[in-house]
Amino acid sequence: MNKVLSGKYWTSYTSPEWMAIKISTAVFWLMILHSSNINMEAIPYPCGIFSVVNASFLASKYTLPVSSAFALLLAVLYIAEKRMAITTFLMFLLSLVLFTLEESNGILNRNSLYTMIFLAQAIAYYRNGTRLNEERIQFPIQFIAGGYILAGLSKLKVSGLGWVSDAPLVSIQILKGYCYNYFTTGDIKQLQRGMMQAGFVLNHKLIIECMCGGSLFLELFAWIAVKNKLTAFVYGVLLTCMHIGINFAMNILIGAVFFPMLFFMINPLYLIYLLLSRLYASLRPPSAANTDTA
Amino acid sequence: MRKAPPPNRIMRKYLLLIFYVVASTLIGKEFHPFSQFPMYNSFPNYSYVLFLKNEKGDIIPFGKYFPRQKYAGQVAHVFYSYFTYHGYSCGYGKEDPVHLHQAGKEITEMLLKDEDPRKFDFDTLNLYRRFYYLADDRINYRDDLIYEQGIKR
Repeated sequence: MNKVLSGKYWTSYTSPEWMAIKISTAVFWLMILHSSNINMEAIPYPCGIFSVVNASFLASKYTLPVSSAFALLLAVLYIAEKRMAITTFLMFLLSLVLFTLEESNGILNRNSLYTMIFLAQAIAYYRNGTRLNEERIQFPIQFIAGGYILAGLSKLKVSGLGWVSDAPLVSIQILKGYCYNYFTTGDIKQLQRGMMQAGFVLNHKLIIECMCGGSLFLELFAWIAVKNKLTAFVYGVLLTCMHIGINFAMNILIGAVFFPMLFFMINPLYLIYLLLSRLYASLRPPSAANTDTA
Repeated sequence: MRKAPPPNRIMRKYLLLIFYVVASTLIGKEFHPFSQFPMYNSFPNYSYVLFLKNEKGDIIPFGKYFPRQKYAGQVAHVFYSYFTYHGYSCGYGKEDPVHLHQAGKEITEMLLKDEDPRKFDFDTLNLYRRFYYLADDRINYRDDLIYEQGIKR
């Protein structure tokens, strides 16, 4: 943990850090691909590239097993750091096709950032410059920050600053989230919890308006995260607080936006690795440590 | 005093961010992976939830009979996608009844596709739309039956 607190930690990205980002990214990518491409044997609402290109041949029972096997192979190559320019580009293409297929089935899971992360890494590896170690992480952070800025701009474009003063209306959106759980599980407690949460919002309008104002500010200024590793980390912590707040108040977590931000800006897997290494070192008998040093 | 980095270096550092924001804004609609991330960009005075009831009026929990891809949240996405795709107006409980019925039909077909009817312990699947709205600082709702489908077991 001393490493994290020292100035040196903030100047460059190490190999274990990069490995932790790759493992987190690849595992989560496989999870969302697996959940997205099931039951996709039709394209009822073509959108994105499928509104331009006829891809009805993709809507078949073979799409799931073939794409899952291919995704698994790419994830292994990605973690093993093999032919990264091609591997990341193929991961970008596979994400593009499968997530568009998912959206063309009417399911909007907002996975755009995941697709863009692989494009960013493909660009970094294609450039293969002297600063590759930094660019393969900093380029995806640019897209992630761009996503947050777009979300902020969208709010200003559609609602203006009224978005903040309209915040008490979020109560019926909160209730909707809990209702989804109630009508899925049949558990009446979900509905009761939703009513309670919505009531809290209506009784504490000022708090909700402040929370929404803070979120809008964070989104619009997400470009600060791009500056360097330290700003990315600090901004990542602030955005995590925002997501936790939204999840607490509205029972909503948009994982396809939150997790890429978490992996690239905070890198929790690496922090856990550092913590465990430190713990392991402190638990080892002094003689073993001395031998190692010698 | 620290020297400020040259403008072209700053541009390079933010190039992909600028590209993504500008391209997504110019495209102006959802075109994966370009998006305006419109989630909750407005708080209209309505929210919809779709749910199921049997012929006795009891709630049919999605999770009891259908896979995760057919839960209430996903079904609501399909509902909105139907209206967006066809360019029909949607919201505030004021949809055209014909469009509403057609959306209900498509959702019910999607729900029952690839499902073995023998697993169901009801004879009729009634798809409802709950419309929540705020009036006088109180939350109100209205339930509308949008489609009814008999089950042949």
